[in-house]
Amino acid sequence: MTLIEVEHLRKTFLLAVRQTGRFASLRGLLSRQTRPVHAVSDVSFTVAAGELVGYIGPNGAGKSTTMKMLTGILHPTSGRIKIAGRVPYQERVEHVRRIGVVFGQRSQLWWDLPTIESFALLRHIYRIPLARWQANLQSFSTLLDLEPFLNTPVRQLSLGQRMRADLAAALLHDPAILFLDEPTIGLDVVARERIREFLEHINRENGVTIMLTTHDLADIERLCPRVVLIDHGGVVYDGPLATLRTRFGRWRTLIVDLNQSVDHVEVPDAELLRVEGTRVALRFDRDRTTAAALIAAVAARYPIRDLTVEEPEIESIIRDLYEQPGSLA
Amino acid sequence: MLSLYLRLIGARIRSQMQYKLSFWLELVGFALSSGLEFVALAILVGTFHSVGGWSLAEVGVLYGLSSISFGLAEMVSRGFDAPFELMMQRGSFDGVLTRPLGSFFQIMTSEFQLRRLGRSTQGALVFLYACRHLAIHWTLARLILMPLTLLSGMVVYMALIVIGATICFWTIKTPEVINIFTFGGDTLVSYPLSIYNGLIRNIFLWVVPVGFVNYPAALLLLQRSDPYGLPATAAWAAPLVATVFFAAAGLFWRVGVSKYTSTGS
Repeated sequence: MTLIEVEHLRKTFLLAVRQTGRFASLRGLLSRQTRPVHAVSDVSFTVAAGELVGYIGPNGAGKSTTMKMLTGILHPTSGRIKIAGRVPYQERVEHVRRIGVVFGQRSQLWWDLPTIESFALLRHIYRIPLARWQANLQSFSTLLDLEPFLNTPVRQLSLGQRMRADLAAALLHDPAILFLDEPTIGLDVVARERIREFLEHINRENGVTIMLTTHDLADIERLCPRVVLIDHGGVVYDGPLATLRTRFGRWRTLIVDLNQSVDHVEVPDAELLRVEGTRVALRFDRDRTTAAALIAAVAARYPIRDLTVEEPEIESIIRDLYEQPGSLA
Repeated sequence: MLSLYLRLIGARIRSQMQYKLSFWLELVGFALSSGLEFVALAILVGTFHSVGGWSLAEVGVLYGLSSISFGLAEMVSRGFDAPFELMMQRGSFDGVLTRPLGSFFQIMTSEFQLRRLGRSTQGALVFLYACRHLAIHWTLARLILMPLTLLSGMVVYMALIVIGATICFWTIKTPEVINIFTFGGDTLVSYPLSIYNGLIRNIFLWVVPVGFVNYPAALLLLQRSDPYGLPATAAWAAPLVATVFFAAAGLFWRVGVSKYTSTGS
């Protein structure tokens, strides 16, 4: 069953053009010269009930703008959105009653109230039946270990605790869909893992459809069977992460520590990125050579003390993709 | 909706009560600082014995009515003040739009400043003292008029605070100019409107109807007549004027929100 339908979504902002020259700020007050900025130019996709989709792309690609349109915060300039049969920006209140939203950077809880009181207020705001609310709270408390800080005011929570509380808060009313914007941002490894486990659980066990944006490739690898990659306001890839990686993440970086410092390193099938004293970074195309062959080639010429191979980060895959727009075909 | 309002407000009050000492200090502080305004007014009127033919006690009626209303308005609608401005600056108004409640209602319940009652209490004391001093004859109609006048005044001041907040949708910061009408209006209408020139008089009666709150009601209580022919019975129209003004503010708010949803912060 299709839960989210997005067709040719577009959002254009009009940015005021800064005036220059004499009395610039004064003239700025009088005339409003604007310039259109296409934050989202053409985005289409569908999400079926029960999916867990990563919505990724470089900074400024239009991720947040899309998320804001899906959650009913922003009105699209043109295009169509239908979520669970509703148009978010036309029926905002009814729409948000059926979804959960978590912004990683900002808490949605009452800053100066004990966490449990925020949960209690949400029960009334969403008109959640008491028994349902209690059962959910019980379940999330166990899964997210909320018990130790239920009576602590939100402002005193650590970032990890706050994020766990926000997640629980967004799910108390049994939303069909959960929208997450950078749910693991700023968290340590343990906290990230805990959140991933939780998301996996509610997706699998409770059947909550999840759509999330993230900069952390590990979130995607761990959670999202499917990614929608956008850049410059349009979808550049929509499919399994594995394919994205093998198809577009060809570049690896080999970093070697040599016994003595060198000025230059010349190895076939590899491109020298930088030399920092005894440390040398080489970039190679996985389709043309292997890490093993490259290491052997370097070792044959220079004595190696230590080495690491770096996987491409999501950011660089995205950059590569953008640099080779034709490679999607 | 009322029960949800009370719940959210209750939460605000509980969280303020975590700091009891600071609450009482602020309450007394508001009473004292607004009380000083009356002292200044009293010195001025005392020096000249009367203002536009109104004695100090008569001015006290005007002052009291406006202060009570203004304090009440501040108490219930200060969510539209600094907390909302902060929300616009931090971009957290997005969060408001992801809750299944109207944005106006949510901002209104985001703050409740019980301590603003300091101003109202002080205004009430001045009003009661003035009434005793003037030996006002309380008929049933006049007794009914009082709560209506105070409520209307509260609604007008609330609308002004809302208008100030709405400007944030364009400017991010509430412009100081709105204080001319809230604090300035409260001070201005503490004197009889008859002493001002036509422009100011008309602005504060018909455009920003702060003067409609207390002036006709005072005319009626004091059995005075307005030199420009405003009938004292206009006092009974205050609820209507306040409602219209508040509706206009609400409409303006809606325009602001739709500006936000089409352009973001």
